[in-house]
Amino acid sequence: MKEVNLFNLALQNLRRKPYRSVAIGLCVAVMTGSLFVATIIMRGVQTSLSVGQARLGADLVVVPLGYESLAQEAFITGQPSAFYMSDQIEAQIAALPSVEKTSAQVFVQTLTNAKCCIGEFFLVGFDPESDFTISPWLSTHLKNKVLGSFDVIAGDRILLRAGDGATFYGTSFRVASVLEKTGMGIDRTIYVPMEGLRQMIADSNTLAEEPLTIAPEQISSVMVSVEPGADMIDVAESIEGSLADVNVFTASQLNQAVARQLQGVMGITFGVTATLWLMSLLLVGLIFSLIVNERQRELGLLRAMGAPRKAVFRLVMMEAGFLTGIGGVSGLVLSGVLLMGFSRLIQLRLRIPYLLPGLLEIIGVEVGLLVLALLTGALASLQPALSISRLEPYAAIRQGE
Amino acid sequence: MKKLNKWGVATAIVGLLIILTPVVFPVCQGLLELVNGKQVPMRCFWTARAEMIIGGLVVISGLLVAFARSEDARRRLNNQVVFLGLATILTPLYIIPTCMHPDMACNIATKPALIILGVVVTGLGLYGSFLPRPEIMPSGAK
Repeated sequence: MKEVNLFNLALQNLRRKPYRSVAIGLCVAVMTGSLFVATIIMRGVQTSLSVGQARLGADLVVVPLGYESLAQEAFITGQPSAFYMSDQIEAQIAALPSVEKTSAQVFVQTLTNAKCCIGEFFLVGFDPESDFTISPWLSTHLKNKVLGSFDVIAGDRILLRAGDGATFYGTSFRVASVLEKTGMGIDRTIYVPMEGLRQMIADSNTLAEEPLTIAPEQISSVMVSVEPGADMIDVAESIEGSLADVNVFTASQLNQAVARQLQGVMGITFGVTATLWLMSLLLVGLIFSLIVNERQRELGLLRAMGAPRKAVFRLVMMEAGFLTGIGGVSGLVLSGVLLMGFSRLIQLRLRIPYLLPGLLEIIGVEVGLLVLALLTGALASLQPALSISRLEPYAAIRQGE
Repeated sequence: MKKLNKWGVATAIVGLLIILTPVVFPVCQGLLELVNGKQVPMRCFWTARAEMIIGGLVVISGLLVAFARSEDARRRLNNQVVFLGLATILTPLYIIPTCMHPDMACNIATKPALIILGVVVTGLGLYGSFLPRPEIMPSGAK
């Protein structure tokens, strides 16, 4: 026979009304689960943006007028985009005050007829001599090995690894290296040296199914690094003031673009979760008031048999703790499994950059939410537990009859 | 009327979810063109078909568990459920793997959903196989 102690007594009480216990547990599970998902997604977006911005390397990005949103979308999600402007713009920007470095890039939209890859990828031509975004990374990862004209750098989400061959628009390239995962559009981008890209464009007339119609003097964007101490917004305004047909955006504006995309979904999620938390608090409080009322006689007898006030108080609090604790753990485990399994689906549907935060951070969030679940139970059952523990045994037995 | 075994009913419901997974989360819709010009579905199409058959078998096994009278028959059927659960997990991973690219429809939704459901079926089967049996009391004992 099992020993009668508060722990076993609390468990038995919960088992006596399984449906009621499951309903409370489920409510807490949904609350902690949705809070966990919302928090991890938010942190995942922040992690991805900070890694991606560091990789972007540029303070400002200059694109043709009217293509700001499309370019931001390309940087955030890797959605292939193609827009062009004259390469004269780069020289004009470089001549402006407070501009330290500039580097032009050319975007090629689609690779649907490429032999190597399934799906659409974003091809970006960069000039290894002037580039300051990809080249610093290459100098540490390729140990200063010179990148040939037909050596490409692939993003992490592309099924190409170092040493693989790939044919784009009929021109053969070799993958020199694979960039680390960022969760941003860079992961779905292939960086091609400008000389190789121009050659590919020229040869596409004869080698590709669909020739590319990009003139040699056309570029898609100019990456700008401002001088130390200069104000980025001032430089951006000066570029837009001196050049008529361009838009400029800063790296921090990418954050704002993502925030705009997330605002609606996350607002609803947090709103629903806050409502659920309030509901859980009320539900647990209400149910425990009923339980205590219903069991007045039983708890009174427990007191009459010698159980101190503290024991009755602890019994009620323990029952609430078990329910909210088990519900919280179930919610965290289930939402964790769903989040891991469907993280890519969420990222693609919400069109957001996402990189799973570190394990320690995830554990920290889980512990925090579990404490919140337990606090909910403690807060909700505090009043009923106090009231029953204060009642004299005789009064409790009489009132409960 | 004899009470149905609730774990068997749960297994049948999860089996039904496996059948519905390729409907709710469709696999890649594109066709591959062979050198001879013939168009064939991508391999994840066959993964989905196989999973729907496995799901059907899980439903049947679950219902048999639910209606089985003897403990021994229920345990044997639950062993079968464990194997079907493992088949649900292994099919999109190794037996008929889904498409190669991680961003394709079959990989972002269908595969994780099937793996999660496969784990649930395996868990239900294992629970049914190793469920503690009520002790048989000698006649007259209280």
